Amino acid sequence: MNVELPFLAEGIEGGDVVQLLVREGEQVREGQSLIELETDKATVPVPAPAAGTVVRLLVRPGDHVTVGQALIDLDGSEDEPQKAKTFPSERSTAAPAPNPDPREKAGHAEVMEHQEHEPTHPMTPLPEPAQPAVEPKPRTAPTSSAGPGIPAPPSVRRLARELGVDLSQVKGSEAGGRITADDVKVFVRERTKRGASPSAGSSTYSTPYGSERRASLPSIRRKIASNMTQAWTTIPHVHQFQDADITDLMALHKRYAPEFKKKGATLTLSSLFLKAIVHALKLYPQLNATLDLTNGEVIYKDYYNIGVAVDTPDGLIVPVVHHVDQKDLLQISLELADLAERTRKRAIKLEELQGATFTLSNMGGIGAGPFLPIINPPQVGILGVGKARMTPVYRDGQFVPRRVLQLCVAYDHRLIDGAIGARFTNELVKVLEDFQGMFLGL
Amino acid sequence: MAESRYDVAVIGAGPGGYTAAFHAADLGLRTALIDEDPQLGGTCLLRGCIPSKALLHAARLITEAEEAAAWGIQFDKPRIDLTVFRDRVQTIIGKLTKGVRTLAGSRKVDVIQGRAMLKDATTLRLSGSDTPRELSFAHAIFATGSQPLTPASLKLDDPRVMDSTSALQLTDIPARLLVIGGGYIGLELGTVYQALGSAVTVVEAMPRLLNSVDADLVRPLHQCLQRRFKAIRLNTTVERLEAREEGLVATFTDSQGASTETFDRVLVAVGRSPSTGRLGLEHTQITVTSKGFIHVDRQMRTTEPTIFAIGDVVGEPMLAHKATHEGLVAAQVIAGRQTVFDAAAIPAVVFTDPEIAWCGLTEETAKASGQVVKVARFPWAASGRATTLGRTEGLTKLILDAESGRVLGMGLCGVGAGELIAEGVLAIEMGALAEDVAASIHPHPTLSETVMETAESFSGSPTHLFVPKRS
Ligand SMILES: Cc1cc2nc3c(=O)[nH]c(=O)nc-3n(C[C@H](O)[C@H](O)[C@H](O)COP(=O)(O)OP(=O)(O)OC[C@H]3O[C@@H](n4cnc5c(N)ncnc54)[C@H](O)[C@@H]3O)c2cc1C
Repeated sequence: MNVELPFLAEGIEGGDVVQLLVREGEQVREGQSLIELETDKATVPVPAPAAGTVVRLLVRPGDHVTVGQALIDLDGSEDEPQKAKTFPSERSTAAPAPNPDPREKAGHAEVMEHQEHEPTHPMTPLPEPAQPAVEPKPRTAPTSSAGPGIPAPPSVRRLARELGVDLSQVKGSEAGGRITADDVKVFVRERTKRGASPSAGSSTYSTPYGSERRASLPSIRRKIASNMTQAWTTIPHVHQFQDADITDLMALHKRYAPEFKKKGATLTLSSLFLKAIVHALKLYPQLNATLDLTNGEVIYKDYYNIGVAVDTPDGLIVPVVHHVDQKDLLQISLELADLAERTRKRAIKLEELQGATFTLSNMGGIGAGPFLPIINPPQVGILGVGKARMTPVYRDGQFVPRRVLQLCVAYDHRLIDGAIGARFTNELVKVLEDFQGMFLGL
Repeated sequence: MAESRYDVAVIGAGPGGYTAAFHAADLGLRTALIDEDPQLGGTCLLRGCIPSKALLHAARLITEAEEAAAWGIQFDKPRIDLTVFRDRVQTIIGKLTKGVRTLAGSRKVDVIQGRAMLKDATTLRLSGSDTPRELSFAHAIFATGSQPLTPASLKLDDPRVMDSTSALQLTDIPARLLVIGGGYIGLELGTVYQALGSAVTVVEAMPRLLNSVDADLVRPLHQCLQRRFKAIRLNTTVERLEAREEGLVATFTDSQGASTETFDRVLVAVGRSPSTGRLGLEHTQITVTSKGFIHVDRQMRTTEPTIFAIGDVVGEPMLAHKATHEGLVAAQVIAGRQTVFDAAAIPAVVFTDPEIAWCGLTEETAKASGQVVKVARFPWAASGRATTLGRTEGLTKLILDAESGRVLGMGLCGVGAGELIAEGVLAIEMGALAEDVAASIHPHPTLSETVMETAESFSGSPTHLFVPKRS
């Protein structure tokens, strides 16, 4: 069977192979590290999903691999004998290749342990993954982990408490099994991945003001938190408000929605917004661009991929409708519904979350708005729309009831001047107010 | 203000209590610190650590002057002015207790003098010099400490029978002093009285002094004390005491049978019991252990949700630094932090001459529990610094994980052991290996080098000691 790069953590799409920890012909046990992968988050070991023999290595050091890509051809037929070989007394013989990097060894207690026992044996087993392993013992309350039993400095013990980690379940990556702050973080990441609830991490206690509860932050939340902080602190946002009278657009929607329905699609305002956005982006390419300050360049994009913010039980996820400019409204509507559905079920593919050039965030469904959206870098713009409201509009000497949508465009002021941003916004409004005009090229 | 409610009411102003109160106040909680004693500082400051260490320092001056003879420096026999001596101790105590009060004031902790008793789980009744009143609290921390324990058989209404508190007052220097109990308090105070001129006899029911300490650490001390004291009687119990005019007659029982001996004073130092009496615990859900300690969890909560307890009143080891750490934890937990008391090592020091200090796992505990450890020892006879001091009787040892060499425990006997033990605590807390300790450069010539050399012997031979390889 081919061992593929598994989903490692939110935000980790792949990485570079730093080193191969096994050789062809080598027998590996379940959980043994096969390769070491450097991602933008951390260097992580990729464990064997099952015991077996390495038939063929499919990657080399330096290769960039992505989630789902085959790494190693593993023959898992010898499952039972493999298990037997993992007993400590035999493990040395089961690992034919000495670790190519002697520096590695110091970091792994397991290795030292066996060298102690068999100092004359020329072979050393491979290091344990620096990744925590779940000990077979039952989960104990964190209150039982005192004393010199667990080698973790007080600062790490505090961290573990705060993250609701029972240190007896964490394997230390340092000499003597010492647990580092990183070990605890990796453990939490793995736990989130496995979907286990941090039962120890959610604890209720009383304060002088009432009771409170602490729960550890899911990794998707942490990812969102760091992205938001980066976006908000590095991008000088301008927020441009504008009212769009979408009474006519709604009429159009009402008229054609049944036609879409016949074709199995739901025509939503969001699909109409996507079309309007692409129209305006074409006129103002600065908003369909990326700022490359390192090289002092602007990257203009000739493709129009629009991210659409989706509210899921796990947090905000933004799937992308690719090449909106090349798709008609029917296609867009079908695709949008499918993407949103799969996003909520977390059945979305990685590439469907990537490559956006602009984002739409529509809170109309929640009945909220207007609001100030935050740009999702490396994009430079985002459209935030809320719910349209019936508003008295003064027209031809009298007030008439019109459906008015307050929208807000945020743009990166480093790249986009106010005049451009304003014109872009005006263009959007113009299209929304006279949708047919767009098709007529007006 | 009498009826106003405190976020935290701390009962007992010993090291545990005042630490808890200070941190609670620092964390923004309205805090009261209550003690029946007009002076703050508790047992530690008023009748424990501080006065005993002051006396031991003076005793050390006397014995060092005696040791000077070996260098050809001769002093006359010291003349001791007990009034000055006692005043000096009082000055030290006064200075420190005032310091605690000043700190309480600057942190806006309300200090209340009075005896506190629980009316219910959120109300205290105060009696004492202030007018009796009630005080309500959201949380209370009990830090009422402990008291010397005197078995009924040794209770005599005679001022010549002393406990640690009265012995520290140094009313006179008895010619013949009997110390009942070979624990640290008995040995420390016996050391003081011996230096001041008493003939000291120590009686211990167990087969050795300092029963919970590893035997090899006790041995050098035992040998020194054997020379200084008149007698050390192990496996011996004092059946009874009889007050006569010419002295206190003690009846001893040992394997040989019963015998009597007369002393001018007797110090009873057989242990301490937690101060849980008359606290009104019965008006709450608080439970106590069979030994009378208040039951707490690792967040220092009692079984009554509003009430916490710390220090000597919750259990062994009854030591000031344990009390202060627990106080810190209690204050933080009340303030909503997710803290627990999870120290990997609590050091203990016996301030005799030589001193004994240890922390973490002891060799004997490891043996008893069947844990596989490797014990590395370094005798001070191989230490340059110990030789310059003329104090080569010491020993440094490390209890190490047999496989990784991780430091699990440390023990020392020798001059200055109390100052050296902190390194062992840090090593244990940080999960350091013998290799880490050995690779950390220690200054020369100091006694701290013995720690490094002990660690070196885990994987080889220390520089100043040749350890033949075991096959
Ligand atoms: C001779 C001697 C030497 C010692 N040497 C050392 C040493 O070298 N190192 C070391 O670490 N420890 C030493 N100790 C132990 C140390 O003193 C105690 O561990 C420490 O004082 C305990 O602190 P605590 O806060 O728990 O209580 P304590 O210090 O005992 O304080 C309790 C306080 O509570 C007050 N109190 C009690 N009940 C009430 C009530 N109902 N209402 C109001 N107030 C109340 C008491 O007046 C007292 O002030 C020594 C003890 C003795 C006796």
